[in-house]
Amino acid sequence: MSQAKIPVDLILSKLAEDAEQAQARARKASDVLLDSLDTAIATTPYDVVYEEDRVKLKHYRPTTATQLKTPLLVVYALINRETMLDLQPGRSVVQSFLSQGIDLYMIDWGYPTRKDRYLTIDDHVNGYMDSVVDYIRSKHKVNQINLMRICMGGTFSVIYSALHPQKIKNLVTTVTPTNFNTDQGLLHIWMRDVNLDRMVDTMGNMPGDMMNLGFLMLNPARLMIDKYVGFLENMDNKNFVENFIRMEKWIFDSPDVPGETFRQFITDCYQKNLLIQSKLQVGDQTVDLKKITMPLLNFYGKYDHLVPPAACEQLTGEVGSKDTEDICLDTGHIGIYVSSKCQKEFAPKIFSWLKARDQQPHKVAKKKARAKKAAPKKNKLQVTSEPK
Amino acid sequence: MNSGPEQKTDFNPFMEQWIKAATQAWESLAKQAPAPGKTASTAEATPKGPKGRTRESWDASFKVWQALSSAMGDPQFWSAFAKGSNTLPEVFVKMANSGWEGFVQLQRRWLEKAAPKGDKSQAYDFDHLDEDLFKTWSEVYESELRQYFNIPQLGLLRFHQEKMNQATDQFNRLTAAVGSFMHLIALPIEKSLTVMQDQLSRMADEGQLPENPKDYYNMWIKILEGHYMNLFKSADYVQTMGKTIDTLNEFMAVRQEVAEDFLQALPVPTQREVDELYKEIYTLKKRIKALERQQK
Repeated sequence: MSQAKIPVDLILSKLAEDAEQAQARARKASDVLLDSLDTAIATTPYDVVYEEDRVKLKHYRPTTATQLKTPLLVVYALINRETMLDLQPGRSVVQSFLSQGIDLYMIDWGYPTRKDRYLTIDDHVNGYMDSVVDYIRSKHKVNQINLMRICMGGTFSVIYSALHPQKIKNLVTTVTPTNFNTDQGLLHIWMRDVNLDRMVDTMGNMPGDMMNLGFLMLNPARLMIDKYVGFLENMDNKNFVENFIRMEKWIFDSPDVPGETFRQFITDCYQKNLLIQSKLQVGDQTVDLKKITMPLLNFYGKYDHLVPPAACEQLTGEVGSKDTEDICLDTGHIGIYVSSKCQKEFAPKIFSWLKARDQQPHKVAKKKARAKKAAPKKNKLQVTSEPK
Repeated sequence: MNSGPEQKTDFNPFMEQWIKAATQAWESLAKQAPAPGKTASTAEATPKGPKGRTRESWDASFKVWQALSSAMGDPQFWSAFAKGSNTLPEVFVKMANSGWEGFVQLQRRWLEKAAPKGDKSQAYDFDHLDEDLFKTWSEVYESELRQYFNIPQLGLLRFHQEKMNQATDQFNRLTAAVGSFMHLIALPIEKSLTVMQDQLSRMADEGQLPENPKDYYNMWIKILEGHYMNLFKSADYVQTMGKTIDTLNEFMAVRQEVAEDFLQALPVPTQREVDELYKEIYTLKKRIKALERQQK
C-alpha cells in the first residue's frame, strides 16, 4: 500500500510565512485604522427642494450643461438607502448622470418611525410620489418627466407609471421585481409561508435590523464569514479599508419599512403575485400594466440572488408599450451600481437611451390601441463585473 | 419499570400507601397524647378588679386554644381529618404523574436519538432530518405541560395573572423554537467539516493535498456555502423558520400586554394608546389631503 503524501513540511512553512505576513499586516493595519479615513458617502452636493413628512426630494447640483430637456427622477427602494447610488467618487451613478448632463432628482424616503406604520403603498405612490412628480413638472414647466427606479422603488414606479402614465415620458427599471412566482431566489421561497399579519400587527414597522439579518442569512458563508476574512487580509490597504467601510455604512443603514406597506407588498406581491397579473389594488384603483405605454428600459442582473432574472424579465412582455428593451448584465443585485466596469456601461446606456427619446412626446392613448404590440427587443449586454 | 413505550408507569398505589401511613402515624400519636384541655390549668388566678385590654385579649385567645385542644383530643376529629387528607394524594399523584411521564418520554426519545440505528444524514441533504432534541422537547411541552399555563385564574387580578401565564408559556415556546432553529443553522457547519475531512483524505491518498493553508479555507467555505444553499431551500428549514418567527411574534405581543399592564399604573402612555393617536392623525391627514385635492 503506497503511503499518502501529505506535505506537512510545506504546509507548516507556508503557515509560518503567512504568520509573519499577518504580523506585518497587523502592524500596518493599526496605522491605517487609526489614521483619518475618508469614508463619507453620498458626498455629491444637492439641495432639498421639497419635503413632505419624512420624505425629501433631493435635486443634485448640475456639474455641466444640461443635455436632456426632461428631468430624471430616481426612486429608490424603501429598503436600505439611496446613498448607494453615490457611494464614492469613481463609483457614483449620480456623478455619472450629472457628468452626462442629466438634470437629476432623487427621493429620500427618510427613516420611518412608529407613526408611519399605517402608511400604505397607496400613500407612497399616489401620495408622496405623485406630489414629488407634480412638483418637478411644475418647476420645469413640463408635462412629463423621466422616471428611473431601483428594486422595490421600481415596483412602486411601475405602479405609479400604470396609474399616471400621462406624467411619465420614459421609464427605466433596474433590478426591479415584478413577477414573484419563482423559486430562483430564496426570498421568494421564504416569504410564501410567513404569517405577515401577525408580524406586522406585533411589530408595527418591519425593523431594518431584522431585514438585514434576513439578507445576511441568504448566504451566511460569504456574507458573514468570507467577507470579513477578506477584510482581514486587506486591512493594511487604506484604499480597500475605506471602500469596505463605505459599503458597510450603506449596507447596514436600514430604515424600518412602514408596516402596512410591508404587509401589502409581501401579501399581494410575494404571496399572491398580483402585480404581473395586473390585479394589484392600490387605493381604489387596479394597476393595469397595459397602461404603461411609455418607452421602457429594463435592467437586471444575471447573478442577482435577491431579485433573480425570472422576477424581472417578464415585465416588458406585459406592459402596453411598444418600445421596450431588456438588458441582462453579468453581475449581482448591487453590482450594477457599484462595479466600476458596469458603471462604464450602465449610466451611458441610460443617457443615450433617454436622449434618443428626449424630443419624442409620449402621448397616452385615449382609445384602445388598434395595432398589435410588437415583440419586445431583448439585448444581452454582456458586461463582466468585478467580483462582489 | 415498564419496558413498553405504550404502558404508563403507575405510582398511584405507592403514593397513596405512603400518605396513608403518615396520617395513621399522626393519628395514633394524637390519640396517645393527653388532651391539652384536661391538664392542669396553667392560667394564673386572675386578679380581682378591672383587667387591661391586652390581658383580656390574651384570655380570649387562651380560651379559644383550650377549646381547640379539647376538640383535637377527640379521636373522632382525627378520623375525620384523616379521611379528608386521603383525598390529597390523588391530586398530588395526578400532577406528579403528568410531569414524570413527560420527563420519561423525553428521556426515552433522547436515548433513541443517542443510539442511532445506523441511519445517517447524508452530506448536502437536509430533507427528512432526524428528530432533534428541541423538537422533542417542544412536542412534550405542547402535549403535557402547556395545559397548566392555560388554567383559568380567579379573583380580582385574574386578567393580569392570565397574561403572566401566557407570557411564560410563549417564552417557553420561543426558547424551544429558537433552539431548534439554531440547531438547524449549525448543521451545515457540522456537515461541511465531515465532507471536508472526506475530501482531504481522498486528496491525501492521491497525493494532491494543497500546500497553501488558504486553499483549505477556500475549500471549506465553498463546501459550507453549498450546504447552506441546500438547507435554506429545504422544507424543514422553511417550516422551522416560520415557526420561530411566529413564536417570536406571539411572545412579543403578550410581552407587550404585560408591559402595558405595568405602565398603566404609571403616568406614561402605553404603546397601544400612542398607536391609536397615530392612526387618528394618519386618517385626519388623509382626509385633509383629499379635501385639498378636491379644492384644486
